[in-house]
Amino acid sequence: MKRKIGALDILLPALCLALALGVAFVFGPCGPKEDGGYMTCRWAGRAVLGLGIAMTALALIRLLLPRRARLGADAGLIACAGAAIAMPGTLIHLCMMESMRCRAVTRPAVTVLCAVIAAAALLDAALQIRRERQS
Amino acid sequence: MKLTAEKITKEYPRLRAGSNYFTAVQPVDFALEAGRVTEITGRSGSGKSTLLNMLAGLLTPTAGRVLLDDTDLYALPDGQLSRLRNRHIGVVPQGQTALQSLTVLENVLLPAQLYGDGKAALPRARHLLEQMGIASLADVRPKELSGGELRRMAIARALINGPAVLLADEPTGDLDDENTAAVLGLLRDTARQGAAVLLVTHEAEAARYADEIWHMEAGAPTRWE
Amino acid sequence: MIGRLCWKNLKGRPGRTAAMLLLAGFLSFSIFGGSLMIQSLQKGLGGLRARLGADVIVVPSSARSQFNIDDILMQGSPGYFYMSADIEGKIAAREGVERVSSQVYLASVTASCCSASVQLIGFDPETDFTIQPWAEETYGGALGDGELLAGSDVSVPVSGVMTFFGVDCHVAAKLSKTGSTLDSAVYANRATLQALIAASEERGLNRYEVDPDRVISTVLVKVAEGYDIEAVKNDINIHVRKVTAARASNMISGIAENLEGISRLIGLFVAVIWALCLVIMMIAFTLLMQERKKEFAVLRVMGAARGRLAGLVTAEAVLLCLLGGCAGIALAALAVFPFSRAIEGALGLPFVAPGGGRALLLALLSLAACAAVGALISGLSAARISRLDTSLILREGNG
Repeated sequence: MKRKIGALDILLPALCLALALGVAFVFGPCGPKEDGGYMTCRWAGRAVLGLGIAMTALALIRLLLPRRARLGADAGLIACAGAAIAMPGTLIHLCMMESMRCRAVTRPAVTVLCAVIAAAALLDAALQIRRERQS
Repeated sequence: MKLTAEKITKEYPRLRAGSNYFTAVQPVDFALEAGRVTEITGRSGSGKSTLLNMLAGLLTPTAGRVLLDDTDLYALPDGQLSRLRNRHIGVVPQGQTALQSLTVLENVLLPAQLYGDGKAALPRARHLLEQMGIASLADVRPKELSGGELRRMAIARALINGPAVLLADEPTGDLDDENTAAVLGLLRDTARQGAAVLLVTHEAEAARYADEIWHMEAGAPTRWE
Repeated sequence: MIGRLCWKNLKGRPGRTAAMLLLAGFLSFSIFGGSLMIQSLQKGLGGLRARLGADVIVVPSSARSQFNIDDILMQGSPGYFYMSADIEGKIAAREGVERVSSQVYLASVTASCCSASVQLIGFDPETDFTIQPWAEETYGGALGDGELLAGSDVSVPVSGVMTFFGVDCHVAAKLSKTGSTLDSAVYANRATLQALIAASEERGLNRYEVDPDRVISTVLVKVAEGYDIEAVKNDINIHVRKVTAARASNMISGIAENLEGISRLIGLFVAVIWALCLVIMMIAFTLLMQERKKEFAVLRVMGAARGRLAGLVTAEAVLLCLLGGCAGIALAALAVFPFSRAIEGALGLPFVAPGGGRALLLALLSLAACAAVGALISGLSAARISRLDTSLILREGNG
């Protein structure tokens, strides 16, 4: 039976893609040093990029899953979002100064975007559970 | 309860040359009694609906009084009149009048919720839907209902507060024969249960269901024997 | 009943509801976001003023080639320069000078983690009247040798260790935010800075060759009451050789002017958005209500009083504006609070976001303003709906 595509079905992959593309092109961490080398924060950005790509794939695969399995996908998205939030600053060190791009731009952007993704996935899971109970 | 009209008339100012006023309803004495179906028939534009609206407390007469037992409807302030209408006068308006954002059950419950939370009316609402034969459509939106089903929903809504008076304006307009008979039958049953029913219609079939028939022509109502 | 019916009506027309919510969201986003921005700029300026303390700042004349003295407080790159420590006494002796305190500057080299060096500022605990009052907000003790006070933008924990030129220094406290480059510096007593200067020279990382015990970088001057600050500044410039004195207030006034300009721009932006959104919302809402007059006539037939109908219309508008308002406020908060450091960098102005209490108050006021808009846009519709001719409307469209 063909499933109706809801707003969250479109929003989740879009947000995950925005995370991946954003950290790559818009709110990525500090650039290379004068000697051409990279600072630690670059790897935090790469880690978030990897997670963002994985989350986008998961959000797209979710569209093809049966209802029960979609709950698992939502849980996966929430966990990945949490991991992405922890990458810059907690799991991978950032630069020392708060004025540096990795702290001023990258970390807040990743935090906000991942929090929205987690909230959307949580909302989707809650709606699904409610639909299950009603039917 | 008895609904009585004493010499009510309705005039509208006319903008064209000639007479200054157009008389939609000539002065008339009228009474609706419990347990009876009164029919008003006549062509379109004869003033039937205008008379019904005055009896319903929705249109102030130019002259005359409308009394529900001893209460002069149009002497009351709007708030009190509205409450009285909500409690004692049920109206089935002309045309499709469902609120599209509510389900059938929610539409039926609406009059009971205007001045309370309506929880006590829920069993009665379900019973009325059962009586009207649309219980299975309780959780459906009005746009999924047929004309006949919508009209039955409107009757159930008008009866939710157990009114003493039920006024139905063209309740069988644009319905097929089967639905027409069903709706008229429901109105007859309502009268049997003690309400005073006024049926405004140009449906010839309705005469079979009426205890008293009035004919309106050019605003002048005449009782037919 | 009214609340439930409002909610059902809004849910029943998702497209139109979304459009109105968007407009209401714009309103609250602009007013809350705009207020936050202005308050943050004002708080930053206020904090900076409080931190400055001195009336006149004196630096070596040779340092003028390194930076614009008026930009010293918002200067991007750390710097260091020296003059003889004797100059402090010469300045203290000038007429009109109430008290003086010297500071010593140093800049760290690029650390392995970062491409930015850190400004190091040493102060004399016995004469200082700017840093110690600031430190008292977060640190009650006296700063010992080898201890540091870190600016709020330096990401190092209290009790952490920072190593400069091979010398380990312990972070005793973090200073409260000023929204200026003062936040990116670390502060130590004179003895600690002298040790660091010596270490930097030993490693060949200092562009000067100086005796750390005999140099200072700036002198902060407090002018005595009754004396004109400008006159004292000019006197220092004339009579003390090889130095440049500048009024601290001049440094602030440039920032204050920029801040005022930006605040006015924000205010204008908010006013334009409000005017536009208000007009659009009023027209849209009135048209929407007009389309639904049959629905209101049916409610009237059921026994809804005129006042109740007007209340329903108003409640719907207020609910729309409150919901949209909450969304706009949330978005504005997400745009300003997490990104306040980035905003500060982009504007080049002190920017300190207001605390939770103040922000909550601004949010509530913004929401109240949105609710007032709801009441306003529904006014015309509510008046019309309450006066509608039920019988006429029900007849319309029914032949």
